[in-house]
Amino acid sequence: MRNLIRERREAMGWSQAELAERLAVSRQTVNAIETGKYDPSLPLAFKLARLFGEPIEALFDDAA
Amino acid sequence: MNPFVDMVRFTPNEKRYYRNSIAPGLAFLAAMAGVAFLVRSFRDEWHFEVLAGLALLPVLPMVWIIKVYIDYFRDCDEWEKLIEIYGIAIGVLLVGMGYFALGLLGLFKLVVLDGTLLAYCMLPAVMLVYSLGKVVGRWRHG
Repeated sequence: MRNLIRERREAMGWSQAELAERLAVSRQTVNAIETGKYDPSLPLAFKLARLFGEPIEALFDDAA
Repeated sequence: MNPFVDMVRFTPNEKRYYRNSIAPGLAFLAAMAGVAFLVRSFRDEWHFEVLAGLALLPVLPMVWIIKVYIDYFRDCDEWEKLIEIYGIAIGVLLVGMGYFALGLLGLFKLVVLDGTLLAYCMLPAVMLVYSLGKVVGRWRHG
């Protein structure tokens, strides 16, 4: 699934480690999500959406 | 971040797990050395029950290591859990298949198998292949 996590994170000026800390996950988990190799669970997707202040569907695109 | 480096780089949770495994690992080595010495020295003098109890002592640090692993798994985030499950599944399935293949060779009397050695090597083999399985999981999902 494609997502805009990297773009949103960089727009906030956060490193992967900083985002990981805010989400209470490992940096590797953030990296796996950003590269599209891992699709987060619904609770983690909601956490991301809340953190970036956007709806889930604005961050994730299942069309690809 | 370099994906190849990330495949083998430990997460903070993993680092904690390996750190916590040092004490039970050393206890296992000490127990093995002590038990080997005692069983060899007193084989003819002590009762079977005592010797058997002694021989099983190294199981205790292994149980400790399993407890450390369970604590580690509980603290894993969802992606880390996926990688762990990859490692465990690949470890158990490949080692199980290897043992099954060896069993077939033994069954048809094509090789002579040392059951003691095979039984002793099973857990280390699972642990070794589990580690490789984690790298495969990270390569696919990391």
